[in-house]
Amino acid sequence: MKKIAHLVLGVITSIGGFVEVGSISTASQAGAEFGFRLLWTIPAAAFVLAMLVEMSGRLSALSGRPYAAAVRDRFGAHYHLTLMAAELVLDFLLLAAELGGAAVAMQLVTGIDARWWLVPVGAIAWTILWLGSFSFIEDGLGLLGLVTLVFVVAAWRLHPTPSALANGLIPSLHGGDLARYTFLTVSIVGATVSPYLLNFYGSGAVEEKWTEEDLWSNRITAFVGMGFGAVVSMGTLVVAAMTLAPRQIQSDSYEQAALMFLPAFGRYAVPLFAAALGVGCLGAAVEISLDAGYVMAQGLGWPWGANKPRLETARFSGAFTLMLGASLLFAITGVDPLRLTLIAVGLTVMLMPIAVLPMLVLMNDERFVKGHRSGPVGNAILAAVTILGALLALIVVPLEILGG
Amino acid sequence: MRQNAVALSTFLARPSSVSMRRFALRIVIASSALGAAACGDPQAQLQKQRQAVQSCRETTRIVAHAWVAHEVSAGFARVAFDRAYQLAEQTRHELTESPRSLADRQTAALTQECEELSRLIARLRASIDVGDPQAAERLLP
Repeated sequence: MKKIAHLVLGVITSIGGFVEVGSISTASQAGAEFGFRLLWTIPAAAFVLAMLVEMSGRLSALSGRPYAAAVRDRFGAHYHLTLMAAELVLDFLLLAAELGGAAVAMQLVTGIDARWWLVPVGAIAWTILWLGSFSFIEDGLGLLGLVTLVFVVAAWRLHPTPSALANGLIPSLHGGDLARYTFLTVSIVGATVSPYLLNFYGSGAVEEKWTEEDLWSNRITAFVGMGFGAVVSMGTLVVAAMTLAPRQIQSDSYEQAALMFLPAFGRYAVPLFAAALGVGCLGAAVEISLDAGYVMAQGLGWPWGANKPRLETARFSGAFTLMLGASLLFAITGVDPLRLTLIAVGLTVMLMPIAVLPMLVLMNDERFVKGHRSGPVGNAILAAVTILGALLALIVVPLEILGG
Repeated sequence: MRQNAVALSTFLARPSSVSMRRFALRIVIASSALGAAACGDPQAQLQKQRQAVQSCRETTRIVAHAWVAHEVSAGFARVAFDRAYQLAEQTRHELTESPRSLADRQTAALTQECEELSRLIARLRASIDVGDPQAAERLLP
């Protein structure tokens, strides 16, 4: 019974933790510019994420090592340093964007400039990190994140037609700006398949002492949790497609994105949008900071663990504090969080082969996963998606960033 | 266009004699070329700017109506107008970057639309500052 309750909690928190700055930005832009036509990308990306997260949990449960430590053991320090550098760069950019997103949420509600909110948001994130155990951070923020279900409620209140939804689930290149379509496809993949989730999830499995017996709940949490999480993200796209696209409003700022709730919620629109954005971003900011600590500590062999007293794991605590501080300083320079998000998610896809391909090797090595190796079909799908995504990103991301 | 695509695919095809490093270099060159080609198309650029102006105008209209109907707070409306003003001015700046672009009739017309939009946003912003919804209503098309 306890295991079932734990499983249900895991699924619910996966849903609550799914939506953050990247998914809100990319899904609202996709809906505003292409209507339902990019809907298919979200379940496709969520499926890839679920496969990777399941692998990460399986690796940790069977080897007792999270992903970063397993990469160091299997591929050596040099490769691990490459992976660590790539992940820390992405964590840094994404964290700055999440902090910026949470600050913008406060600005939407109060009208006070977002830059004034950055330090308080950073302080709240650090306090949660310093005082919270792993389950408090994961479950507490995940449950709070259920406020993002407001996107699904809004979509439901707008009554999208089943045929429009079904058409959106079929990839279509018909009409429109092909480069922009590809860029948003790549961005949605990057926003969904964040590398930090792999190590964060695997580290959580080690923190919670998963064993071979937990593999079934790992699989259910990964696929069901991410599946329902994807529904929230799809809700964002559907609402934007039904409210912003017909009025030709592009989602170039969070103020424009917030308008998507007006037809569904009237005077509660902006507070509800701000709550979803703020909670989603704060939760992700805490998880990314913690992940940066995990990556550095596991890779460099320091003691680590969110369940241990912080002074016992001083270098781990220092690492997440340093990452949070550095990203906060970067955000304070006034960088546009929306633009930063798009750069970060584009870079994520470009760097995905570095992060994902070692996972495929590890998942076929019996020293790490014993008899629970991955099947050839799953391996082939992941390898193909990763490489194709990176090639596409290499072409369209510079094009969009340069403002072409 | 088709010839360009064929040339690009020939350039990107990787014979076994070409090393991975050279192949990666080719991809970077091709992506830069694609980027330069896309950025260099003035009609596509103008279309994007037209969409940006339309998006700003519609945002302004919806925010103003929502403020008049008490659906959004004055604080939100102010922030939204400031952002819309920034986007409109950014577009106008892009349009007036070179004297040659202003000589084009379509670009000049769009620049004027941008100016009018910026002025409208500024006046709506002022009506929020003095808390006068009727003034805002009169300004709306």
